[in-house]
Amino acid sequence: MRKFRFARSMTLGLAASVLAFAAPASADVTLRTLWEDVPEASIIEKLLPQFTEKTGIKIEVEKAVYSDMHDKLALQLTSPESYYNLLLVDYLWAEEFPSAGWLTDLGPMTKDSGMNLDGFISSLWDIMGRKGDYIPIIPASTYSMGVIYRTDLMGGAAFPDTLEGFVKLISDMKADKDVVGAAMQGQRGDPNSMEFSSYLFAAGGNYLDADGKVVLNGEASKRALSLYVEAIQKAAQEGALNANLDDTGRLMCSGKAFSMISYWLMLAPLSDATDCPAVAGKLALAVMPGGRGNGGGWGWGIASNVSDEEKAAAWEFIKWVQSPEVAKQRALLGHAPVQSEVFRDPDVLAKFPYYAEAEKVVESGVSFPIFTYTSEFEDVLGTQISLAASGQTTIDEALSAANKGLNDLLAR
Amino acid sequence: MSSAGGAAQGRRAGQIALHLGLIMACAAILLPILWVVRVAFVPEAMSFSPEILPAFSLENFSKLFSGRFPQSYLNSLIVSVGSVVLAMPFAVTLGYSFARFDTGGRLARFSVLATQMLPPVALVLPAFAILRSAGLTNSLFGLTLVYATLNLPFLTWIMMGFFKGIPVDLEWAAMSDGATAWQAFRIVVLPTALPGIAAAGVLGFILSWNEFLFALVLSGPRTATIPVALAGLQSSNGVQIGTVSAGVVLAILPLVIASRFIQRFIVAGLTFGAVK
Amino acid sequence: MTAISRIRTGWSFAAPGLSLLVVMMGFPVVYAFLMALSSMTLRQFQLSPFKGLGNFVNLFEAPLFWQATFLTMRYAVITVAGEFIIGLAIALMLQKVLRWRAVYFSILTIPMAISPIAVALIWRMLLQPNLGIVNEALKGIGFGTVDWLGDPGLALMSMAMVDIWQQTSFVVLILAAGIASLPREPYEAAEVDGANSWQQFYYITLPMLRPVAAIAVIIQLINEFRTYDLPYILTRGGPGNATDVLSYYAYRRAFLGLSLNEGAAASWILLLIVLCLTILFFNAIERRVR
Repeated sequence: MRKFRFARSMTLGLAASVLAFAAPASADVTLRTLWEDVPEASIIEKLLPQFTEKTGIKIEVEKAVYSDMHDKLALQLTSPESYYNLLLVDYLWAEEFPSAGWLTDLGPMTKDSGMNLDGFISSLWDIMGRKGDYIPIIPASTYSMGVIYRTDLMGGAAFPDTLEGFVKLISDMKADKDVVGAAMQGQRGDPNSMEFSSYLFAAGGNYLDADGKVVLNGEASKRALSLYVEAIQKAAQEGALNANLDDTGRLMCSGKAFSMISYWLMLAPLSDATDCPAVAGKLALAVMPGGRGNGGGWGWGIASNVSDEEKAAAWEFIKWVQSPEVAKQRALLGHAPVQSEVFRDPDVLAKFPYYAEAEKVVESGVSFPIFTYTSEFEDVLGTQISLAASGQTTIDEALSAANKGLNDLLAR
Repeated sequence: MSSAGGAAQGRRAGQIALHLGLIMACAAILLPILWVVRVAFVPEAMSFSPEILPAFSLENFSKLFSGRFPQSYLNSLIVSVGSVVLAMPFAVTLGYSFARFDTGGRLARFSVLATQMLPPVALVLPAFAILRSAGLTNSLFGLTLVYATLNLPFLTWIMMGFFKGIPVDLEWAAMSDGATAWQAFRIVVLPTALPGIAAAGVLGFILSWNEFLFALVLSGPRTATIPVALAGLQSSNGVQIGTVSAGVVLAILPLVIASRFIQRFIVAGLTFGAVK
Repeated sequence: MTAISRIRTGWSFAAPGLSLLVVMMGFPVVYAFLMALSSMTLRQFQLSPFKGLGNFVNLFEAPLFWQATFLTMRYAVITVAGEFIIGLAIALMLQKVLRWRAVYFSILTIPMAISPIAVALIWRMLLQPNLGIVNEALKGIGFGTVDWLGDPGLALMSMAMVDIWQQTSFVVLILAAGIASLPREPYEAAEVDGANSWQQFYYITLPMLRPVAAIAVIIQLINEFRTYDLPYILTRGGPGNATDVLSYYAYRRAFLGLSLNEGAAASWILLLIVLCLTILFFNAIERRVR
């Protein structure tokens, strides 16, 4: 014990001496959190002074790229004491994190504080690991996927309601107009897995059937992948197979693309007349043709390996940030809401008319399979889609390999 | 006379060809870097514009300085200098021992080299586990220690190469005058090896300055080094390429400046100075 | 000095460095090997129970692992060959050129000062297929655009090109140092005998440069086999599996697949491959020197 204390005080001393130039440590609880560096993070950051003023709790936000977040969090959550106490958890980790025991059950806290759980869009609870009273994550924002497209290039035609019609439309756009039909995020891994998922769900397919059996090599999947490959080859930009969200957003912003299948909240930055003068005011959002796309979102969690004071402070924050007033404030600044009330708020709708469509996108969103090895499955699936899209394997080979991959990972 | 004139002319043509070749190589290096400098000084929205200089702005730098970047800069400096200073005495003596005494034979040399070959991916996890139990994760000292160790084999090999190039006669002379091996090393060998030490030191500094994976895993937000900060600037909403470029410019700067000062040692050491 | 005292002196010089390495490197290396034999995952951060060679068997049964292994070898050969040939040419030009040598030298060694992460970020920006300046320039001079990183047939070469752009500066530094430290006398003698530049290069420079050249090649081989930052930023291993090198594969096994044990096993295989190559290479060099 003494040895332990010695080591610890030595560390503290070292840390103090190396960090002498950093802000002086405070005796109060400080929330430390890691957020994906997207516009939403900055929106909440703007409101943080309100929180600190109200509760006296300080909060330090660190921002990172999506791809770094999982590993950074995992390393902290496996250590004796996590550096981050307030967590922003992607729905893709909604099985992995709780099953490893990394998250505090928020169920009791929601009861004690009387949080209105029914106010949240119900499909979000399904994808965020809630099991009755057991609530590992509270929805924070949604990023379900829809189609963002250029109304000015449509020439008054109606937006297609089938996937075939959509792929024909974007192929024609590339052939006839001075744009590419679709800015596609075909980079292997998370980007193309998410994009393909939207095709898959739109084609009426799924990864698992109602009984949890893997059905990835069914007819609907074949249709979806064939159309996806066709879109990459006939309608997408050059370099689509190495493009991620970043690239597609840029291309769309530059006015060189007709459409992109993307997270619905990308519409806000693209509609900014200063940043994207070429397309602002010419864009609309639509539910995936076929009626459903890939659902998704972020949720708030609290690390289990932190002190009780920190947990209490983190809960204060979650309560505050999801309270109806703050949720509305966030929405008015362009943050993706998770509560139906906010989607339908007259002030919000007046400012963002497309939120009516956005709510449909969110409600109809279908979940990617969420299990312990979701991240690895994205890699397996992404590789096969990429191979098929570049013509290195056939549709059937790719799907049966992905199907087998999913089976293996589920059985692990 | 005329044949000598012809030779001189041939030599001049040769020199021109050499300059052309070197200028082309320099252009291949400089053009991409200059483009990055250009992107750093152009407003974010015009980063991808094909014009040379559509507008001038310092907004990328001010954005960079409003964040944690200055802190990361200092962190990188401390860790890089610290690790070289820590590792160098060990590297010099070990390299000398390998070069002159063939200590441990080829097996020892290989073992040392082998530790350098271990992929960082394999080492970073045990390093994390060990530093964690010593309470040294998220600290600059822990990272310095790790970098010193990681660079030791490489520095040793560099020093070994340099010592092999230093004629052994001087040491023999010193020792036949009654000096011990350590005295001969200190008085005769070390001064001769200074340029080599400087060059190896610069290389070690660069390696530490640029290392990514260990820094990512072993450092926290306050102890992040420059590569970690740079990677963090690359965000998914994709409007930061200007800031990234500004960061790259600032990351390269100290090394370009440092190499200006140390250049003298390197150049002298490599006898480039002979034609000053 | 007697043979025994020579050996003793040698060890006295080697002791501090070797002990530091044994303590600071030996333990992690052993630990990494134990990890490769264990059932350690990110979810179960403990070594026991040990699985023996099970992790290695899993790897050997995965076609992707073999694919990544051969891809890494190809990548290492391409890049090291490119860097060495270009680096040697530049180092020789530096030796021969009479003016502005220091200027050229400082410019040509800039890239090694840049972190591979930054290099990858720079080139991802430059090679961006639709908006990047390289394709804009190609269009400007009348060529078609190139899908540098999105074409599975081209992505590895593009990545190698980026690597060569940076790493050649290391080779230049080492070879230039080596060339400059060569004794003058053989050249003076050759000059008297009327040997031309090419003959001087082939019969004097090249043989005398061999130890330094060997070091340059070994260091670069090691470097290339460990490449992971470039695919990490440039391509994420794609398109398909076109740039899925072994280090990145191991990284994904450890972090995406949560299997620290299999990641460690893949890393150890990577190590063994490089070790074998190095031994072969080292032997060849030492034999020639003798």
